[in-house]
Amino acid sequence: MDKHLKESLSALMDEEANELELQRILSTEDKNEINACWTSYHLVRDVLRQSNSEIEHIDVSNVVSAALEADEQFDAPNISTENRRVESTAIKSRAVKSTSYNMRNLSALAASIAFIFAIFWQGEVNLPFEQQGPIVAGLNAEQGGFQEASISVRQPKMHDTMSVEHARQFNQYLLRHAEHSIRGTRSGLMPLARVASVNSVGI
Amino acid sequence: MQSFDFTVKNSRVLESYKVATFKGERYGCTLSLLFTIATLCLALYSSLISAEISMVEDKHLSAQQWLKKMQAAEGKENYRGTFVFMRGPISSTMSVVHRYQQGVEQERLKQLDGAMGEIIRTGTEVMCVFPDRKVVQIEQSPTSKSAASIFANFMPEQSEYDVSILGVDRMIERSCIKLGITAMDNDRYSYRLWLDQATGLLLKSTMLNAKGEELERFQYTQVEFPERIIDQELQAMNQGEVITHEVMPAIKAEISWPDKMMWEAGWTPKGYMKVNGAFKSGKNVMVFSDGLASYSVFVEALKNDAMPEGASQVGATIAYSHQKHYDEQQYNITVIGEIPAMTAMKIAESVQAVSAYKE
Repeated sequence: MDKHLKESLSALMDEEANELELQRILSTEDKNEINACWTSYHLVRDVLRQSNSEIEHIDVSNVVSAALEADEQFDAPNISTENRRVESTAIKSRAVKSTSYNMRNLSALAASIAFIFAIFWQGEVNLPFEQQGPIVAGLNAEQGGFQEASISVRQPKMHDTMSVEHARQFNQYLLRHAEHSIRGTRSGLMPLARVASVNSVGI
Repeated sequence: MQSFDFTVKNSRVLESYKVATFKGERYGCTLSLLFTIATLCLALYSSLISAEISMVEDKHLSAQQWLKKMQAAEGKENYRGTFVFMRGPISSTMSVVHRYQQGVEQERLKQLDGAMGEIIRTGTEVMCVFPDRKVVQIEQSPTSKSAASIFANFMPEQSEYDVSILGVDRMIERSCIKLGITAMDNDRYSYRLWLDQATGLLLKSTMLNAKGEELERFQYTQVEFPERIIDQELQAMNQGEVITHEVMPAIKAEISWPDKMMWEAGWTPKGYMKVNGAFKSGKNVMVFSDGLASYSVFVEALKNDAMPEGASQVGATIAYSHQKHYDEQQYNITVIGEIPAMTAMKIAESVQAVSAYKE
């Protein structure tokens, strides 16, 4: 995407876009690209403000620790393991506070975090959150002091269709689950209605 | 003469006494009538006042108090009605008869569309009568009774849901209170509830995912609150000549299952509480609730007929099956409940064997 277009989008997000910038955005033909960029910018803003509950739980501490471990093999022998454990929610502040890191470690840390965010920006977190799997992140190689990271997003395997046998098994669990839920809950008739509604398949 | 006079006088006195007595009786009757009318008026007035107070109280109930009222109505009201139940693309029309008598809840649900199936419930005992006249009864697990007592006073936390009164609405010609219960994170769904203002009974509910999509809808099309429900209304119509009657175990524990083998969920979403407190070894089922939603976790020895791994979804209900290898044995972990697929997966994958149960 054009650099000026990105700047215009950024300005629009900050409610500082002028008429020219607005026109530049509106006249762009590839709306998908703009949408993706717009979403990414919002995501980044949420992350920086720590107001994005969807990715708050993602723990990148292992990735960063592994990056530092790998980097340590070359030139950071004095950093304690405890200092290297960086929690995801406090990763930025603690990274800044850790003044004992040398510049190379900070570069590696920044590169790792930047890489992870870059992966998000490329659209993987634009998926509906319910369809996402836990983020499994890991560093697998390092070259010349910079880390090369791989990250994969695993989603629950969804069965779009169910065979009759599969549906029966589902119903059996549903019935047992209903048995635990029928008394005293605020679900009212729902647990049994769920069972009754699958009567056509049976158990 | 004197005597006459006396007699006359006496007779006059007697007459006047009789008149006085008669008048006195009349006055007495009138007084007692007035007293009765006054009493009736007072009773009527006090009942009107109490009804008015009750209405005023109802108007000032908080959302949490409405939830309590709904729960009480679901269990302790007599009602019969017809409702539509939609789960994703599946829609069913059913009838319900519910009776609360001598401390026991009885209920009959009947499928009105397609082949007729019924569910009969007495207390926690559930019997399903299927269209092919197969009867399935769930074996009572020790968890259900303990779970019931814990569920009873377990309210959803404000930190997990935003519970609020959205206003007054009207459903099937009845005045309703509309409640909004919005999930504060991605580990649960949101609800909209319409409660009958007079009784608190749930007349309509919808369950929504994080994107606001409706996953499940329950809605009465007709309901009444009879004083009395006769036994015949609660009997299965479809039972007839029963072909098969099977008792389904609450958990399919393997006979060779180690007696004291215990499992636990390594991760529980925030706000959910394990409600099967009387959990003993050998029965590896766990039930969790956050006061509104609940899910069950089953750990079983892997069989050939196990559910395929992954998530199966019908409406808001997800069943996530995960296979695990432990101590040279394959196990199947199934999480089922009205929770998002992602949450179910994380729970299932966190389940692990722990040390043996200690007496």
